[in-house]
Amino acid sequence: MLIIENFSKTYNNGSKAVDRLSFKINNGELFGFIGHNGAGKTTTIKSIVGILNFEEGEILIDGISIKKNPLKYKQKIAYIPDNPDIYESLTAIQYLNFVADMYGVDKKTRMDNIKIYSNMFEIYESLGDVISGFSHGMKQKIALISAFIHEPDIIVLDEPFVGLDPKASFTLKKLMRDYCNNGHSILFSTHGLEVAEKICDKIAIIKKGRLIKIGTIKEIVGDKTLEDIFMEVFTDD
Amino acid sequence: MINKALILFKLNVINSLKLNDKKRKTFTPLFFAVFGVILFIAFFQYSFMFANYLKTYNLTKLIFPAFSIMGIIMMLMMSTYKARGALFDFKDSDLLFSMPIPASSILIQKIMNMMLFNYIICFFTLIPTSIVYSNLEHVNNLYWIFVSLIFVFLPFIPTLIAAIFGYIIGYISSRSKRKSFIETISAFIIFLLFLLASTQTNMLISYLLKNAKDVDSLVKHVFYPLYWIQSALCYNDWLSMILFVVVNLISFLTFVFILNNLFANINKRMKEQFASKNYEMTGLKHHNKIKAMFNKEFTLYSQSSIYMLNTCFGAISMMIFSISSFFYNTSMIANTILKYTGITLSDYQVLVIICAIMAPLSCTTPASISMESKSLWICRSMPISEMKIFLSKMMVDLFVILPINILAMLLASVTFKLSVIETLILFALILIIGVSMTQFGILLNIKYPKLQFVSETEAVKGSLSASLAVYIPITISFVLGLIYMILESVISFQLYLLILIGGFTIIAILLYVGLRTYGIKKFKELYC
Repeated sequence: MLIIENFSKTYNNGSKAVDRLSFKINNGELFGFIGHNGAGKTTTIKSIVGILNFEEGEILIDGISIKKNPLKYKQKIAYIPDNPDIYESLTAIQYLNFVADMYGVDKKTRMDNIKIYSNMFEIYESLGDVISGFSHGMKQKIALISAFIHEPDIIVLDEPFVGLDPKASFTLKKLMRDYCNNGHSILFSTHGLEVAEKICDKIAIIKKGRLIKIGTIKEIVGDKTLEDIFMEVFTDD
Repeated sequence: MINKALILFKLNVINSLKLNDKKRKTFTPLFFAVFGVILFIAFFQYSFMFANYLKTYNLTKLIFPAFSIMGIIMMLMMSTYKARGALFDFKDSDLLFSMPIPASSILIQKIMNMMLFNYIICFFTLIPTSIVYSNLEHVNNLYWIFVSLIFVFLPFIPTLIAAIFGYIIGYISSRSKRKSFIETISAFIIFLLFLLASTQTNMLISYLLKNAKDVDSLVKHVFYPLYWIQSALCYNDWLSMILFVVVNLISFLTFVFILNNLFANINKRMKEQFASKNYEMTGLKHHNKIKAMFNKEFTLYSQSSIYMLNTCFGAISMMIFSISSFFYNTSMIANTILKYTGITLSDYQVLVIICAIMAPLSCTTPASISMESKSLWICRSMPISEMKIFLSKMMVDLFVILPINILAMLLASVTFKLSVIETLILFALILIIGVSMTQFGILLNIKYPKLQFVSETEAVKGSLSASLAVYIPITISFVLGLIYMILESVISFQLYLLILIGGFTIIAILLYVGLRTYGIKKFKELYC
């Protein structure tokens, strides 16, 4: 379970990107994080995965604090940014094996998972090639596979569908759903409201660094569409 | 066309020097100004000593071919591997070729980028030499016009040759799966050829001094334009000057014209990558975190020809020095160079000085954080401690570069017939300098990272951390050398080295503490 308590992030120039954000993601939940550009989604995500430091609040996975025990915390989480720049000089298999080493994945599990996910994303035969020759979508697929191979409790994805072809996008949606059905959790940010409405268990809407709405799809949308809600929230100004 | 090229050039300078950063806006020009003055004085002093030496043989005119060839070799060495990233397969090619910018404008901007550095080299090799010559021999106003013309045209041919080498390496490597490996090996071969050429130059000058009658014919034989430079500047020979300008200009314009027609296609073809699509999983090796990180670091290091070449420079030079000491009396060469300073060095002292100069030139860590670039998120989000990340980066330095340095020094100690005690002290000194340097480099890179760059050259060579990691240790070595000169009468050289080893051990411990505290704190703040 991921718990975010009174999380605030202020940048060096004094601008407050996120202001007293609190929510939790239970095991098995597929959680959508929505907001306009610059709302504070990526700042929150980067703080959740330990890339950005923060001064106020606390972030915990199963009671383990990112501040107090970052290594144990990071062992339970995987992160893929919106534009994943991965080590281009390595071959895809070298990169995936490196990630598996870093998370201490045993030999059988890593081989099985790499085979399963690379076949799922139809990239298995290219695993021996150097990443620099890959298209954006192929790099995105390798990055996504790297998030799943160590079977983390929580996967955090920033705009995961950008750059994927329709088939890969469909595969990812199904994979995300199945992964959560097996008791893991996924937090992802997206501008694709239809996707969020279709696959998410819960949604949080963030505006100017503050949480505006949070709840199940039914609780938030009601009789309307997520797009209607989004437009209502962001046309107030 | 020229306008767009100038706009691109200006933007590139602003971007690569980060001139929009308020702190850098004042610091960067100040740094370059101070560094420039120091370098100018150093070149001036060196050319002054050399010119005086030549004057005793009545061969002052040789100073121009000597310094010109030195400048040309430096330009070739610097530009050849720069050409790969600057002229071909550059990172912003997709962006630039997608805009309504003529390929010729992009080409001109890229050539200007390459030539900018060559002009800096040309400035430091030609201008001090010209001033020294004007003080020793009678010159008129025409001399200064010719100096200006030579300054403008001298970098043309080295840039052209470097670009051709850069293209050949890029062309071959883009057709192979092991693209980076081929680039690295090719760049090494070219680098060694240039190094060989520079040693030949020294031998040639010695030969010229002994065979004064053959001077002109030999200068012509080495590189004909050198003879034109010498004739134009020493004898006000108009014809030589015109020939030099015309040959350089025609060669360069022909090159630009040909390249202009091929430039876009070459770059687009180089973007095409080898893809086998025939992977079959047989087995995967399992490593602990440190080993996995080291493997990753070493692969990234060995796959980047720019990174590898730049940081191997010192180690290779030391190895060449050691091997060449089997055949030449290297300490005699050093003492010949120092003749006019009144300093005489023993073989042992020459070895220590070489070690002190070369160690900072072969350190990989000042660029190791910068080279993470936009991939920094990977290490930052993984369950590995910051110290282990630092350690894996330092291991590349300690397990790959340091052994080469130690081997080179052991070879040299055999040649120079050093005693066991002297060899052990030297070994300990290299080891402790290596350990200190690698930690110092990583601390500097954490403090001054260059995570956003267009070409890897900017991170490896153009960053403040990379520059400081060379100049600070060399300055310290220079100061320590001066201190020894003062204390020489009261302390033996070996005892002085033992004191230095003790001092460096304390520094290494302090740097370790700095890494654990300040280093970790600053690393956590890094963000790309």
